[in-house]
Amino acid sequence: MNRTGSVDPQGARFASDLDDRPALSARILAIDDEPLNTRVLQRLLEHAGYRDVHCLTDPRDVLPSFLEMRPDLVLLDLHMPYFDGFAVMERLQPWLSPDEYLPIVVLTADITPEAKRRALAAGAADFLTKPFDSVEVLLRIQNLLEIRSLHQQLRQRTDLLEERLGGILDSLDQVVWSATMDGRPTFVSPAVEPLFGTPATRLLDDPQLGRALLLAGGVGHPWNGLTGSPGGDSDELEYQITRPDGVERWLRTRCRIVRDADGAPIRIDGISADITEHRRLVEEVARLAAEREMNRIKREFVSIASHELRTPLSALVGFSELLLQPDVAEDERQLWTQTMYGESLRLTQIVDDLLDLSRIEAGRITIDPVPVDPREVVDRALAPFEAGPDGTRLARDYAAELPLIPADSAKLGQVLTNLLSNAIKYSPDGGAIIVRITQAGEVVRFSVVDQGLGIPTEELRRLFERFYRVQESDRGGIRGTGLGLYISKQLVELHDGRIWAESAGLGKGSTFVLELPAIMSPVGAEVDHG
Amino acid sequence: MVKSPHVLIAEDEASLRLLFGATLKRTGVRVTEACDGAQVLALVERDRPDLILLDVGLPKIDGHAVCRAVKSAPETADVVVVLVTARAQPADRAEGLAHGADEYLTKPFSPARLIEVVQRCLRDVEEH
Repeated sequence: MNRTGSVDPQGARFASDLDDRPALSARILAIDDEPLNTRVLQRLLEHAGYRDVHCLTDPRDVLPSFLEMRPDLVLLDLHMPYFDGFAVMERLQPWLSPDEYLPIVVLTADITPEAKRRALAAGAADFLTKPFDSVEVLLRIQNLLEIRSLHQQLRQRTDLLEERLGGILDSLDQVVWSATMDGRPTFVSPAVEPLFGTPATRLLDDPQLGRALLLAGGVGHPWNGLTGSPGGDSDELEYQITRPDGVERWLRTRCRIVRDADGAPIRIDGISADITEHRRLVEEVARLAAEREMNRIKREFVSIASHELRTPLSALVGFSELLLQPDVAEDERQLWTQTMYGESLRLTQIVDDLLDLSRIEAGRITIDPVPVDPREVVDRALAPFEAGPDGTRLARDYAAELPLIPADSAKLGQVLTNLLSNAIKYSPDGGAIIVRITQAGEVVRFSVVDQGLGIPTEELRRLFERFYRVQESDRGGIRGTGLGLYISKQLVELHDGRIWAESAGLGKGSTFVLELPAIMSPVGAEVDHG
Repeated sequence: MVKSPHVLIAEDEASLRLLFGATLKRTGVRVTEACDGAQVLALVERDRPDLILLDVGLPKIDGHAVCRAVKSAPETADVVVVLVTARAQPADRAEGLAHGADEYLTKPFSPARLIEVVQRCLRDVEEH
């Protein structure tokens, strides 16, 4: 038996079964300083069907041959003149691309475990000793070539995916990114520069910047909901950034924590989009809608005001004309004159409201506060109503002790008059109207309580808006310009006070509350000094 | 003897009801009053007035709806309807007439004008 190996017929027969394998087109480079050995190997491989086998006996030629041939597998002897197999592997190393798997099979007569260990450590894929078994050599070569082929397929597939993904990312307006759990970016897609105004490299080099731009802070940062606790694994945030180039943009970022098989968080993946234009449009739409609503309300106001003015004017013009006729009976004359007087007051009220409105709009309304007794102001406001047809419905409920308040009694009286006339107007079916004055800490509270039509909860706030009137068909017969409560609110605010409405809903009556700061007597001061 | 004509005044403002009533009574017509749309329809059904002086801005059922109801029912279609409104746009007038009103008055108007319109409408019906 030849110690350097021989072609055994069994091996050749076996190899013929492999004929149609594509692996047979693999390029094999065999390096052995003993020409006899290379010849044997060449014959074995060619018998087995490999068509592209190249043999070298001088290891000094390895690099040019390697580079010319670009083999798929190298068969390498260890002990050779000039330089040994380890040196060959070292020389080849720089020429192997990191994602290429080039199997090197060491074929040596050196059977020491030391040599085997060194060879495998240096990167050999397999280690076979001479004399070798032809079938084993062929099978091992075949296995290694199969592994290499799988490597190549995998790389091609990865390249294809990367190319496709790259194309997608290139065409995206959004930035797709990954970051460490503390928010330091590790990957950003190409759209990063148009979006963030900074190249990817700067973003990756400057963790602070990356955190700020991608995540509005890192995990657990109050600006985002990535807490890592249950329910906190993903979030969508909208935030404004100031880019390194000074441009301010609005971003929407969707991000999630990626976990490994054991559930441990490993990184954050996210996608960020520029929503500046979107937000601008949304705001523009909201502004236009508000403007349209204001215009609608104004048009409605003009129509209401015109109605409110025309009704008393019609009465005044009409009755004057009737009164000018020669044969008017005395009782008719009196009734008509009284009606005209009432309509004149109504006209005056509307004109006053309109003048107040224009003064408020121009910021020209001022108050002249002096210390006043809240009971006196309310009494004065009540007097004309008590003298009128609804007098018996009105009731007072004043606290025994009340502090003075700094107020402009004419303006405060105007507010109370407005609340009282509303209470009467909006309880057409009667019911008591109570005016209450209480002290609540450092404020004096006035409440006007009625049992009338009530106010839907959702309209309570809007009542005090300019021109606003409750939209309810049942109160169609009740007139108003929608100015009274708006003016009242402005006057109350000039007094540093608050005004609001309460109602349990339609048909449940309403309460209007007005709070003004009290003049507090100094702590420990004698009250009964005079 | 000719029966005196019957006018229904449908107006929610008390002062104007008084004014229109006083004005028309001086011309010898019989006057009844209503202050919301539902009341108008009930009175039209019961009394069959010759003419309704109908305010557009009535509560409950507005004047336009009342006018449509009166004019579309065969038994009340010949009741004369004079719409009264505080709105003075030409389009409002067209809308009022589209609802079948016979005449249209815009506030404020003088008692003389009211008398003129009502008498003309009543005369037209008589001649018809």
